[in-house]
Amino acid sequence: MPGEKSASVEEIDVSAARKIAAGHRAQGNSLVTVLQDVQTEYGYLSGEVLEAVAEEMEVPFSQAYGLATFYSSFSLQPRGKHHICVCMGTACHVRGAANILEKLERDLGISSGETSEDLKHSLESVNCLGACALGPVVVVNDAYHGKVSSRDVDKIVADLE
Amino acid sequence: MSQDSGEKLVKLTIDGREVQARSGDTVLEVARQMGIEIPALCYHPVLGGAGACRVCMVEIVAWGRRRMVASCVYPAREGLEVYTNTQKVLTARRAVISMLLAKAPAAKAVQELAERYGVTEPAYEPKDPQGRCILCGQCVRTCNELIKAGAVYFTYRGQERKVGTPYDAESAQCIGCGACQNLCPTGNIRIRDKAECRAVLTWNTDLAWQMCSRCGQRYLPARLVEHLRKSLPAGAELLEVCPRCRREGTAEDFARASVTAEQSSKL
Amino acid sequence: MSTVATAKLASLEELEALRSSIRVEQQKTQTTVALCCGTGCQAYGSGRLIEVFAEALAKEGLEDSVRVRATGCHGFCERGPLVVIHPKGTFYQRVGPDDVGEIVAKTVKQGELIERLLYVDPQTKEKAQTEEQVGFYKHQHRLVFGNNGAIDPKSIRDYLAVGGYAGLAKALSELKPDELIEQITESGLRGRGGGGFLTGRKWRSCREAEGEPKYVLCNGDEGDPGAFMDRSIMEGNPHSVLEGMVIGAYAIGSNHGYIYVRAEYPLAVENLGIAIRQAEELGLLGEDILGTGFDFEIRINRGAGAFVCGESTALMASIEGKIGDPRAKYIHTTDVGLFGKPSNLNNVETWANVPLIVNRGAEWFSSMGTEKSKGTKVFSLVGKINNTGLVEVPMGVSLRDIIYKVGGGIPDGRKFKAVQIGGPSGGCIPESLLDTPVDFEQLTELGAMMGSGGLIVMDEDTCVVDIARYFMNFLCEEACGKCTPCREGTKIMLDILGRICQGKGEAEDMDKLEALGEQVQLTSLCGLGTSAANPVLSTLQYFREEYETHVKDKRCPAGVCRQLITFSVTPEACTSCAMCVKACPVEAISGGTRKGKGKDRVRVPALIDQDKCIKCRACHEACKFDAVVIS
Repeated sequence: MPGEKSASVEEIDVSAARKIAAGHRAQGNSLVTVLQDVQTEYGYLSGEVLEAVAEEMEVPFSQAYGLATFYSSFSLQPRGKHHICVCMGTACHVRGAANILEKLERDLGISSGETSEDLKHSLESVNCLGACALGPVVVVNDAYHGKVSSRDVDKIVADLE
Repeated sequence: MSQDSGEKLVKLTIDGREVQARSGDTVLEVARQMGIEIPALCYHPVLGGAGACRVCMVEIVAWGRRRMVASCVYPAREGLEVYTNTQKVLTARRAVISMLLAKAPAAKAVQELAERYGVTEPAYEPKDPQGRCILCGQCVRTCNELIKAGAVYFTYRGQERKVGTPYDAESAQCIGCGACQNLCPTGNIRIRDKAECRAVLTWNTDLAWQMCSRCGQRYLPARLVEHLRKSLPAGAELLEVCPRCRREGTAEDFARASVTAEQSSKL
Repeated sequence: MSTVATAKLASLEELEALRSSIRVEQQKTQTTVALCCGTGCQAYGSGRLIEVFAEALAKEGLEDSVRVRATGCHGFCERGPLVVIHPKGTFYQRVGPDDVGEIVAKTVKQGELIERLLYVDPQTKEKAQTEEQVGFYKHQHRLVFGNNGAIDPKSIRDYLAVGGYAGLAKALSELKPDELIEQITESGLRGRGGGGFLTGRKWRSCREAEGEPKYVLCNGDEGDPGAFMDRSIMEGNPHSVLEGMVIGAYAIGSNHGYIYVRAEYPLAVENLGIAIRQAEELGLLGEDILGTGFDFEIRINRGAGAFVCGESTALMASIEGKIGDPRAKYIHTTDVGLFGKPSNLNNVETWANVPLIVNRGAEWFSSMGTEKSKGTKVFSLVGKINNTGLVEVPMGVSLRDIIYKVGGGIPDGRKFKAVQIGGPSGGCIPESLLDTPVDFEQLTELGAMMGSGGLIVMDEDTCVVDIARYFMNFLCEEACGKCTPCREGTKIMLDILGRICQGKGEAEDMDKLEALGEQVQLTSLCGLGTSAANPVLSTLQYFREEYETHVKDKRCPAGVCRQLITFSVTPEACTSCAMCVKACPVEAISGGTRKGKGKDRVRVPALIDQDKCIKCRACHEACKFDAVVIS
């Protein structure tokens, strides 16, 4: 899903990213750590931000981009106001996680890995959240929902406002 | 166990022939020195092996255990037995080649290997009949480790992995040196020299020419000249002119010098 | 809890003095309400319970004499939120906010039991009053997990009170590094991350390797889907991991440590971070530990969502800030590891075992388990099982005992089919082999492996071909893409499995899978690739018939593979309640209503339009009368 280089029309202020990178660099921390904190700050990693971080860390832009696309917790696109994460671990799988994900895709009108155009929702599947006893698990903005059934999905979606 | 210094000599056997080698060398290198051919695509003498393409698999016996290893990264060790041509090796090699043939059906080096090992069918229907990249990563290593330009890197992972510039967009770091093209084992990297620029097509990057300060002709991408100037500060002024003018210039300087010398000797 | 300002402990004596003072202080509190705040119980609302308990106790004026302790995971996630009231150890399960007032009034104040909150054994119908009486706990041997229910993971004082850092004190004061390595070797402790390499031998290689500095690493990148024991240790008893690492670092001669934790475990990162700060403040970590002159610092690195980073060389690449590509390990990481220096990597559970061994001795440890697999192992018991949760048992216990005695068997009267062990590198074990003792060698022999210890139980409604496809899809997504056979081979296998699940399989597909699987095993670069075929090969070995039914009869006996099943309504069972009609997302169901008036009123059973049906199972789940059947 290599998107357009600039994800939004507005200029992105990269000064916060530079500051985070400089701070970590002084402590000898790695580029992965920097990108994590930068993503927390911006919600995602835009091309401008990646370029600024690379410059500050004195690594090639291509390496920063390579990292951002290798690791699945990095997002090159803005995430929705409500970020919904469906666990696809084995325990969840044998209890029907695939059906839950599909229902969410249908109900939200977006595929896994996408963000709705109005930036309200984004949907993601994760390979095991380590909450296996609760499977199937859906995490909405950091809140865990366990033993989710199709009917629970209706409730979860209805509560997203 | 200490880190290999490369100086120690070790004795090993390859296909039953005993050989002495430096402990820092890989099995692949030792075999090739003996004239034993092991195919390898991600290995280059300058860069060494990456252990990525897996066509160089051989069988070894070490510490009493028999197993398969990638010879391009396996170090020569005392007492090692290596077998480069067993049935097991050939079967494995064929399996890997058929996968590469599916991934990069248009790559000449892969076609040649397929022919040599009697692989007629790709492992699956190729997605891109024009595919040439086998993801050996030699371009990435060349650009980052040798040239230190850092224009290209691996992007994404697994099935989605590619090599390229960020967003596959024009690179501000590519200097158009063409080293990646030289080292690519499968001819995947295309560069075209046009009147207005050098086009590195594979990396979607056009590079303006540097004009010779003497004859005004194009001779190298300007960014490459800049890169060289930074890495060779001593001869910086030499980079202002094209190689031909540099030769001519040297010849003229030489002629001028000899004339001067002649004149001074007459005095 | 009072927070006495604590200065750095300058000696072993000061540590023991502090420990005594903490114990004296804690004994003043008669009653403790231990509230499980593991991820499972939190999802069931245990976070809210803490506040409610605090309010209820304050109302009764008990806030000073009764302590509410938010603990780590107790393991019995199935029954959360869990509450244990000490000193009696009264065990309540599925506790809600509405129960709190009564618990305080009756149990806390008067020691009375509240019957409805007790756990009832589904088989014997007996009520359990304490954790020890619960079948799930009774058959366990909890060492690594022993203290999870007894300490607040955010409190180093709690850890000290239960004897924490005594192992470190003993190591630093009584043992030379070589003796320590000898002790760990003799104990027989093997790596709990899956490989099963002898821990002491690894330490020795790293100690003897040339090069400085040396690194001591902890692998907390618990990536196997279905495994969460490391998460619960890091979240519930982080100091045990730190203590193990400091002991290891002293033995190996390292001053720098890293813990690599999965991105998906924010609470583990938080609790480990707190633990590191607390240990540093007390001089149990950092410079001049306990005044012995030994220095050791630990940093936390968060993973970023890549299963392959559980592989040692990929993990190190990730700490270095690179993409997680593994490299060949023909030169061991104990010689050339992180930043090219000698590095010793052990998994979370392995590190947590170390203080126990130092405290109680190698002989004690090696007295548990089988000939070659010593001590205990923590498993996460999940899937189609009654008692979902984390279980710790001695090595050598049979899978049957784990599933039936600890796990309480299969729910809803379904039949056991297989247990998947070892995650994507492991395999499926059938009923006939359930008496196999859990042991590194035995499991490998069966084509599975210990892995990190995920046990996923499957019943007759689970399709093994679908499971094989699931794991292959997982590996395909998680492969780094560096080496050819893993990148291409897993995709080819996935395509074949996908075809079989769609009823488009061909007779030779099974042989193809086996041949390809073998080549991927032989030629891949790292452990992810060399074990990638295991889930396919082991299911082919034990459940070949099920593959054949998919291929030849185009049928999925478990009723899972969508293209091979149909949903229909049994008119006789249908009550026309219309629940299925409402549940159907594509309006494929008609009927389900009543027509006419008075006497003429008739039921019209639901009818599924097969052309419209997308087989999402919503109707099947919605029907309360089992009228929607899968065939």
